[in-house]
Order: sequence, then C-alpha cells, then structure tokens
Amino acid sequence: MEASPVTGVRLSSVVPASVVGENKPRPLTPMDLAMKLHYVRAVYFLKGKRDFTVSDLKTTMFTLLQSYHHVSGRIRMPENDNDPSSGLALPYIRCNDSGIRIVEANVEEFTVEKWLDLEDRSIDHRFLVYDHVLGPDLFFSPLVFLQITQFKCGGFSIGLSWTHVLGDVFSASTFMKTLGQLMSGHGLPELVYPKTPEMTSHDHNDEAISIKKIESVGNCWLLANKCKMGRYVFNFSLNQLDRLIAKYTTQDQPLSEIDILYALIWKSLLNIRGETNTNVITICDSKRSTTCWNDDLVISVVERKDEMIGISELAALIAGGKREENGVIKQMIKEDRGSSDFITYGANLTFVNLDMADMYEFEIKGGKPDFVNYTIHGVGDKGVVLVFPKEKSARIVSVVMPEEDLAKLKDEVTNMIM
Amino acid sequence: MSDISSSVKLKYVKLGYQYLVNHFLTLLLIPFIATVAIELLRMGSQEIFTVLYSLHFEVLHILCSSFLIIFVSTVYFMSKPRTVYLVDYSCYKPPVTCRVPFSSFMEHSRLILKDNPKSVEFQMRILERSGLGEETCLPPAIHYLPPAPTMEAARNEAQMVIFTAMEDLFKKTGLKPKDIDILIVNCSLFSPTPSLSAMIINKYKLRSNIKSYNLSGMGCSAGLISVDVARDLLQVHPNSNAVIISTEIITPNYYKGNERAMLLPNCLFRMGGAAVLLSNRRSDRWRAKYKLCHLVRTHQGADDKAYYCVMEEEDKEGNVGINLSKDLMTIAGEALKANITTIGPLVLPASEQLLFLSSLIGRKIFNPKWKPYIPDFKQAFEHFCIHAGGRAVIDELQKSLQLSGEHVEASRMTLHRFGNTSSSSLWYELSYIEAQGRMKRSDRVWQIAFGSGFKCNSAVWKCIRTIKTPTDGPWSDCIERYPVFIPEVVKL
Repeated sequence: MEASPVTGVRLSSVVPASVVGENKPRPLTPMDLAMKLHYVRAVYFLKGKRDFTVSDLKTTMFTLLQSYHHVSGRIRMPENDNDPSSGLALPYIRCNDSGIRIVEANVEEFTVEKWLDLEDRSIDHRFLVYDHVLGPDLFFSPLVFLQITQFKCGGFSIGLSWTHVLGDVFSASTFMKTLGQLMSGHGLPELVYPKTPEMTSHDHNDEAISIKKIESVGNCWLLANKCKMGRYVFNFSLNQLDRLIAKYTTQDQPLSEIDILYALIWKSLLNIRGETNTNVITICDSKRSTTCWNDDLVISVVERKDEMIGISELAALIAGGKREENGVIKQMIKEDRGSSDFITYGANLTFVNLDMADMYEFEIKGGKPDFVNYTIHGVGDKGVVLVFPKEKSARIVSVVMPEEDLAKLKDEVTNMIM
Repeated sequence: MSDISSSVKLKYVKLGYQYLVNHFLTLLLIPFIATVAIELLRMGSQEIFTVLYSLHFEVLHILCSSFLIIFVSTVYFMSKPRTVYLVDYSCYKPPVTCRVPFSSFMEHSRLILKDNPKSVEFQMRILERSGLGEETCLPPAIHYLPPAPTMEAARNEAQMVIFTAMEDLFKKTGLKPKDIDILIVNCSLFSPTPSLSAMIINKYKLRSNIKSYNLSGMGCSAGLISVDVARDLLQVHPNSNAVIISTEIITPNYYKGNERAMLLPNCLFRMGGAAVLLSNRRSDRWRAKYKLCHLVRTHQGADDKAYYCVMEEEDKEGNVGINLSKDLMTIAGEALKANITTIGPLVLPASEQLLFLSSLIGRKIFNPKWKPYIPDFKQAFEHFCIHAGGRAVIDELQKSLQLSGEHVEASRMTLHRFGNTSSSSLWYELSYIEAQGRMKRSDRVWQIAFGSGFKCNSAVWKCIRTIKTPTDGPWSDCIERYPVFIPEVVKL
C-alpha cells in the first residue's frame, strides 16, 4: 500500500480535567536521556460496532490525564528556560497541563477485518499512528499523540505514539489499560511517581557498550538512520516453539524459550552481517511489569567470543553471561552533561523482553482488542527485536531492522525453524 | 501618632456629619414629637376628650375625609410602578472537556499563527497580564487545529449553554416551561434564523402567546438592556414572569487573522451564559432573592470617538474580527461618569449629594481649581458587580470609584475563573458573592456593564432575604480556593 488510505484528519488537544501540573518541573534522569530519541508506538484494533463513541474516548482522556501530570507537560531545555532558579542542567518536563494531541481520522475503504487480513503489518504503523516527533519547536511539542481511526465497519483503531522519556513499553501499555478501565466505569487510580533515584557514584571508568554516543541532535529529537528501516512481525506457532526447545535444550542445560529465541535471531544475523559486526547484543529487561519508568529498566550486554557459534551455545551465553550496565550508563551520561546524545535501541542488536507485559489487558466494558501491534520508532541501525508474551496460539516477535537485512532475516529464520 | 489621631478625628467628624444629614428629618421630628407627648401627658385623658369634642367632627366630615384618604392611597398604589422581583438565576458551568489552560491556548495560537511570530508574542504578553486563570473554557469547535467554526458547531454551543442554564433554572425555581410569559434572549455576535429565542420556544414547547424578544449586536451590556426590557414589559402585563437568557456564543467569532488589535478578544472572551427569572407577582415576593430598584442606561454613541472604539470589521486579509481602539479606557471612564451623574441622585445618601453639590457650586463660583468631589458610592451599596471585561477595566473602575480590593473581588475572581463571558459575567459575579456567604437581607448591589456603542448600563438590586450559601451553582466546586492571589504577570 503506497498511498495513504486515511482521510478526514482532524487534530485537537485534550488537557487534564482540573489543574494538576501546577507548572512544576520534573527532571529527566540519565536513564530517561539514554532513551530520549526513541518512541513507543502501538496500535490497538477494535472490530465491529461498540457501545461507546470517539467523543466518549476523548472525554475519558480528560479524566485520565488528571493522573498523568508529566504526560501533559512539555520539554524544557535549560538554555531557553524562563526560570533560571530551577537549577537543572539537563532537560526537564514542565508539567503545565498542555495535554496531549488527539488525531481523528477515517479509513473508508477497509473494515478492520480486511485491514488485519493484509499481509504487511508495517501499514499499521505507517498510517494508523501519527508520525510524531519532539521538535523542532520543543517548547510546544506534545509528548503523546493518540490517533483514533474509524473504519468502514464502525470499528476503529487507536494509535499511540509515546515518547520514551515518559517510560517504556510497559508504561505505555499501563496508560492504555487505565484508559480502558476508566471507560468501563472504574475509578481513577493514583499514579505513583518514582522517587528521584540516588546519585550513587560508581567507580566505573569503562565506557558502556550498550549505548552509543552520537552527535547532539539539537532541537529535533529524532535519529537519522543511515539506511531505510523496515518492520516485520514473526508469528511463532506453539508447535514451532516446542520444536525449538526440544532441538536446542539438553538435559543438563535447560534453557528458557526466550533465550532460545534471542539466540535464534542472533545467529541469523551473524550469518547475514558477518561475525565482526554482531559481537555484542543488548538486552532490555524491566524490574516491574506495570508503570515502568526508565529507571526501572535493566540494560545488559552479552559479548560473544569468537568460538561460540551454535544456537545452544549462544543461548547458554545469554543465560549466563549478561553484564548489567545501568551504573556505567548513568555515569557516562552524567559526565557528558548534555553535550551529546545517546541511543540505546539499535546501538547494538537489541532485544527487549516484553514477556511480562499483557498488551491485551486493555479492556473497554468487557471488550478486548482484536489485535495489538507494538513497535519502537527511532531505532538505531543495528535493529531491535521485541519479544511478546505467549498467547493461545502463537508468540509474536516484532522486529525493526534495515530493510535489506529484514528480507534475509525472514529467510534465515524460516530455514532455522524447519 | 498625631497623623493617626488626626485621621481618626476626621473619621468621626465625617461619621457625625453623615449621620446628621442623612437622618435630618428624623432628628427634626424628635423634639416636635417630644413636645406633643409631654403636652398630652400633661393634659390628661379628660382634657384630651374635651379638646376632641370641641372640634365638632360631624359624620359627614369624617366620611369625606376617610374617602379622601382611601382615594389618594388607591391612586398612589395604582400608579406606583410594579416591583420587579428577581426570583432566582442560574449560571452555566462549562464541562471539563472545554477547559483551556494557558499553555494549551498559547500552543494553539503558536501553531495557528506560525507565520506571525510577532502576533504570537503579542498574544503571549496579553495572556500573561490578562488576569485569567487556568480553568476558563472555550467551545469544542475551537479546540481543533485549525479551529472548525461551522454554523452547526455554533448552534451546538448555543444549545449546550442555553439549555443547560435553563434546565438548571427550572430545577431551582420550580418554573414550568408553559408558565413563561416573556422570553428575552441576548447574544451579541451570533444571530441565526430562526432566532435563539425561537430555538428555546421550540425545544421547551413554550406557549403560542409568549412574548419573545431576541437582542443581538448590543455588546457586553446587553444583559442589563434585557432586564430593562423585561421591567418595562412587566409594568404593562400584570401577574407575569419573564425569563432572560444572557450569553455570548464564541464559536463563530474566533478571529482567524493576525492583526494585533483584533487578537485581544480571542485572549479574553470565554464560554458562559446565564438564565434569570424575573416576576411581578406578589406571591413571588416571599421566595424572590432580589428586587430591582433602579436601572440606568447611558449611551455615548452620539460621540464619534465612542462609536468607533469597539468596531467589528474585516482585516486586510478579509478575516472578520473586533477592533478595540487604544482609547477604550478613556471612553469607558467618560461613559461611567455620565452614568454616575444620572444614578448618583437616585441612590446616594443626602450627605454625599450635599457634599457633591457644594463641591460643584464651589468649583463653578469660587475656584475652578478645586478637585471635583467623587461621591463615596460605598455608602450607597454593599456589593459591586463590575463587568469583568478585562483587568484594565476593573483596575480603572476601582480607581475612579475609590473601591477597596474586597469590593472588586467578585469581578476579579470571575475574570480569573471564567474569563470574560460578556453579558453573563455580572451574574457569575453575583453568584460569587452569594457563594462566599456575604449577601445579607437589605444589602444593595450595583451591577455596571459596558458595551460597544459605547454604552454604560447599571442596575441596582436590593436583597430581600438573606441567602444561604448555595450548594450548587458554578462556584460550588471551587469556592474554597477563592479568593486567589492573581499576580501581575503570570510566567508561562
């Protein structure tokens, strides 16, 4: 699909229902800044007619934002700050109740079902999520965009674009889950903001290899990729997963399904890109499964020595050889003092463990979504792999990779599964 | 110390003077009554009867005198104007989905006027000094980027505001739609066909012999003009009630251009509306809140400068907006002076009028350089409702009438919470005073409104029963936070 099938686009803003932010500043921690150029994007599909309308959704958003002060705020850079007494050297969020942007649109040619029947899942993110980026006018850029697209059948999709400085995939899915709960008539939960993490000094003199330092992007917080990135969603059926486990696990070396999947894809890319380019992988885990702030992320690296080449060996290495780099990352970013920028996803081949996130927890009046598609936007050239929880019939693995690598990856993985 | 003691002495002198002049007749009567009483007591009852018999009252005399007394009192009561009672009123509270925080307004302005950074700067400076708060509301159509002001959206806003206010009024007063005798709607800038009054008659199925009026184009003072029309009609129609709807529909009037003098209304005008029930029935006297004492209208339109100072016109690009001239404040001051000159003699106590008269005579005859005496209106009124047209208007009036911060608090807080809601702002201010529990029986309220033309209208109401702090109304969920301190400049 080349031309956009989306018509009737209207933008408006939704603000918190009462005064909540009070213009307070919320500082961005070094972990937030490690994620500053990434965006979480999600599309939720709801087929058929429902007993609520788009304006009901909008109205509920006003109540929802009363809990999410920081989501309604705007980025402030320390140089052009009007309030010199704030004493912060890093960028921060001013919670000024500006709200989020809502996009209302229509797709006239397709019903939700027909859309989901189409092969290419990248269309979800190309057309049903607004192409949102922070900047060039950072002072007035919303941190979240929500696109509500109505389809021919009366069903609709909700496309969320969530700046990663607000939190990771878990926090985005909790936001959507809370929206669903409010729509279903439950009360507004209190959002517990994390306490400012202590600035413990580490004696690390090493550089972190999980993140990559790049030149400052200035006021437009988007990564420029050297090659065009593509997206693909792998659907591993339960049979295939069982076969994989059977093939690569041995009696004395039990391996988890996720480690095997990581190893599978790592091996495929080793074959595609050659050994020198893919010696390090980054693994992102989270300490909690709900309302995950960037400071709750655990970023580790696994380094491959030349000998290990088989999937079992790689999986064993992943299971035993992870090195957490959070402390080093924070040190590196603090010492930089904002002069350059960093990327995490795609600095190396990155695996994100979303096994604990239940995307289908989003529920409006008992009705669950028919399909949920999460991805990351603004990924580095080495690519990112998102591993989702196992469902009734399959496990989804969503991949963002340069297009040329993606085509070869599909073939490699298919071969390996056989 | 001597300063304080001399000012205290002056205060007592003033108080003494006021008491003396205002109760002059009473003071004169006291020695007379005392003399008569002493005489009567001295004479004893027998002598009183003798004196009375000697006056030779015949039956005819007594009958004629009593008829004369009855005749004179009947003529007096018949020709007295009917008292107009304000039974109750209700102000529209917009839903939270219409809320416009400062930052959101600035962001939208920036995105809409992206080719004109100077106009955006200008709007930002106005908003910082405007005295508006973070909870004022704009209609749904204006929340879109760019705004989508269709006629249907304007009608929807009108229905939302007017029907909600009317239903609230029905609930508060127990009024049935079929009992409405007179309906007056005033909305300056939105005048569709069929009119807004016809829209109300259609929605609530009002009687076919209803007297309905729709006032448009009369600006922010149209609320008091509607009260004037209602009062005149209630003189002609006995035993009737009148419903007045005052509102301003913002949707079709959001200025889309970038001419600076025309951007000002965008920053100040907000959604609002009020529904008021007036009655001339004796039976309503017991449940009515206020009675109308005076209503004075002054029009400066004969003067060209006053006429052109608030002008709706097209800018160079063809966008329609309201152009506010730079001498708006001067003209407002003159209009106020004209209004005060008329209302002063009606409401001021004798002491103030005497002082004013002597100062006037003194300036004319003795020395023109004497400072003109500004009558102290605080003695005539307990509460003031100054149209919340903008911070400058309230500041100007506070200075001219020498009012304290507490007197103008209702106006400032209404501007902060609701913005400039045009003709209905006076009702929000009255509601604020009631919500603060300050309205007592026999308190007098002065409502002053300015409007394009240039007009200055004022109304004087007297509270006829102490009003319990209302539990509903537009201030019910936020009155504990008020009064708030409004800084000179709010930093965004």
